[in-house]
Amino acid sequence: MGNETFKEKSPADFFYENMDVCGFDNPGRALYTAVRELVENSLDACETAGYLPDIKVKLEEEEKNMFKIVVEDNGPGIPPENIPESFGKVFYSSKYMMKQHRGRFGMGGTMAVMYGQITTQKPVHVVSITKDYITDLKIKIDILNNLPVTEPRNLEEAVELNNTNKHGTIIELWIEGNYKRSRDKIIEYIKQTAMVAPYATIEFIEPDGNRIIYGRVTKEVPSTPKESKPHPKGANFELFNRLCRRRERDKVINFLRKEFQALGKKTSLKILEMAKVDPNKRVKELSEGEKRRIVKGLRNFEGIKPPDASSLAPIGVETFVMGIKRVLEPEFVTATQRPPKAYEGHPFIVEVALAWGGKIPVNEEIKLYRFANRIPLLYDEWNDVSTRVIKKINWKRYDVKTNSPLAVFVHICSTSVPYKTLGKEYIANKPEIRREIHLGILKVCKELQNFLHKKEAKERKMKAFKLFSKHAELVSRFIAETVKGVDEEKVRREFLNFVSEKISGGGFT
Amino acid sequence: MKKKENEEYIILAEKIEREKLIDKMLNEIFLRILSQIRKRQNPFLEIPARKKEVVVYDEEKDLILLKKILMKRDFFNMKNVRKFTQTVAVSSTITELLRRNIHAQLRDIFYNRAYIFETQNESDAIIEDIAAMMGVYRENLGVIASAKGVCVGEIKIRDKGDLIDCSRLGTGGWSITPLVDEVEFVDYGAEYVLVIEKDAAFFRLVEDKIWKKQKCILVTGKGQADVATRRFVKRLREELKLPVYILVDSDPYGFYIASVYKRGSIQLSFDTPRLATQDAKLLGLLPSDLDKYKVPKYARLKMTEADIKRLSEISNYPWFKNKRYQEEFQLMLERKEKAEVQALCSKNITYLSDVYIPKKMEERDWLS
Repeated sequence: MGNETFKEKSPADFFYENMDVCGFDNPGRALYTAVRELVENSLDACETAGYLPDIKVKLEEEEKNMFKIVVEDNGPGIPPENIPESFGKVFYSSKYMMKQHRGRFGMGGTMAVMYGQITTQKPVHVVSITKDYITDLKIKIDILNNLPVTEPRNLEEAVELNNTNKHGTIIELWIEGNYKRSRDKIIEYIKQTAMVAPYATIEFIEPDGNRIIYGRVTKEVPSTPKESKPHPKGANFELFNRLCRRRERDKVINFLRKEFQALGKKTSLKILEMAKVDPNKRVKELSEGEKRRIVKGLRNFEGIKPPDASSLAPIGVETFVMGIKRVLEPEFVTATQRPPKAYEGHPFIVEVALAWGGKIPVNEEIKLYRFANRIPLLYDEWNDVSTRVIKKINWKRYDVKTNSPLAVFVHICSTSVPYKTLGKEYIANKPEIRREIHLGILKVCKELQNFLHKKEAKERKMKAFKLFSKHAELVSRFIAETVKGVDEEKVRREFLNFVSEKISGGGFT
Repeated sequence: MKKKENEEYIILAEKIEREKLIDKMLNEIFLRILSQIRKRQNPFLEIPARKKEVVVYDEEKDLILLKKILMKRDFFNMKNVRKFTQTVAVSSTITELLRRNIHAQLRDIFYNRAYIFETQNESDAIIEDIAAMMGVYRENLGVIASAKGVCVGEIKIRDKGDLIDCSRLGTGGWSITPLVDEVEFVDYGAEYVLVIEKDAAFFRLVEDKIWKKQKCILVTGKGQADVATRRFVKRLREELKLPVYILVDSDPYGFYIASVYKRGSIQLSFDTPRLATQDAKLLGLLPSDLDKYKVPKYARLKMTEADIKRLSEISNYPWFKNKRYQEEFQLMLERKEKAEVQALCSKNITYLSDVYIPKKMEERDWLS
């Protein structure tokens, strides 16, 4: 009867029908997206637990276009009881608070599991080793009901005690894919991840056995972000309603102070006064109209402290520099971190780095590496806010010649990165963000200019030294050949000493 | 007054004794640099500038001369150091030539240190630098340019002990030696010198034995005259007091070649006093001669764009700013016609020797 018609679509079902939205639109992209989701989960797990990540990714082509992805980490493992839903239920995640995190949609690898299951009919194989237990489990998703189906069915049969010191997670996933089409992106992804995570060892084994490895170069893990309350500027009706449900019995004045950051008694009272709402009213008694007025007041009130940036985890200047060094081995690299700022109530920090030489290819266009919340953005570079900023910089002013081996790195971390599209591959042109990127680039440009000046001066000195030495030797020879009683070796040595003194003193033109 | 004038230009010494010149080279180049190195002073040489701006036409003297402006050639200058070394290298070669008392061609000097030169032009320029620096002419340094001039006529010359009678050398004539200052004039029966721009016209005159009939010495530089030919003509004028007449094609290049015999060239401006035969006369072929001697239209040539451009250039040279020359230039420009000396052969193969030259000489029809 009507029951059937009104049955909600399960989230899994919804995503099943909209997989392209999440980067699973074709076998090439799907393979890349699956790898990256699993790697990001592993990095998050390790960092949250405070372990230095060791991550190993292996791709095997078991049949033509049928791949086994193996991702192994040394994270804390997943408690046995959480495993089935972590992999077998869409929207099961711990990533629902206001804090910066890598994963997108809060689904981690669930989409990858689902895509794998649809294309290969195989369950995902998870081995999780926590401090206490080792769990070995195969999981499929019941898509219609958004429920995990495990093998063995009884979880207890899959668990044994962990008598070792080991910990970590191994995930084996079968998926249809096209390596030829995704290889460049996957390798680029691993490479760029290595740039922003120099504290991680990342190993990637290609289907043909080729091994790419980035060894750890620092033991400094960036601090894990703290959770924070929403900022009033970022309030919206949906968020407000959700928060209301948690504190229905509270007086509205206390509710505001407890649920939002940066709101004291005074400010809250002012906002409520403007919204014409009695501060002592209970939350559950608020009318729709009153709620709307409060949300409007929260968003528009002037003079609220900027959002708390402790919920952000920037890479850090030193770490960023080390990461770039380990991957590109540049002759020069510098990085800067901008102070925390906010757009539309969301705190963000921009970090900009700049590198010159080494493995950076000489290119007419300046090579841009983009990162958001420590993940590389590989698609749609053309539309990104950073691309716009770079195009507007007058590089000649900083003595950067066209065809320079120059790379710019922009990292934006935020509790809510303003991606422009559902694909989440490029960042919207928000004026606040654009400004910070611009200022960051100007700062590193100054340092690049210093470096280029010094380099040029050094090269000029080297060139001059070579030139004058060569000519000093010739002149010494001609003098010795012409003037009787002159010892060529002696004149030569004296002249060459003179040349050295001149070069170090800079007394030449 | 006179002394001050001399200070303004680079005037080369007539000749410096070999031993003295060797000492001068050693002191002013080699020992000077040695001492600069020892005293930790930036080594440099001072060389008379020879760029276009310092080449001037002295109206009073009617000569192209070089203003005396010394340029510093520094060792510690990335742009100049190569030239500095080249100067020392060529100086070393020249000192050796002087010590051994031998001569070398410009090209020999280039090859002697070819590893520091890219082209012979570079070494040629350095040789001129050194000549200007030492205040002597190139030959004095033992450096000679190849000579291509030829002489035929009533004159006997002694060259390194050999007596040469220029009236008994058939139609080939005597090749003027690069060491023209070493030859001695023994005897002569000529009354004037006729310098002919081109080989072909020269041959015509030699075969017609005009030198016998007209009692003259025929000289050709075969185009743009080299230093030895110019010096030879100058010596005939100075030492034998023979008047000199020049026969060139009726075109802008002919006029310039004649003026180089008379006043010197821009390139070797520091050497002109020794090379220029200032009172030589331009006998022909003048643009006005074309009508006067009724050179038929078909023997005249149409001037090209380049010819006309060159004509306007030379009309502006200060030493051509004289009424008679400007009239001839004006005529050439109006007609846009030029003609070679041999154009006169259109009337009669021997017209040049039989009619043109005798008549011109008789009528004293020339430009000073």
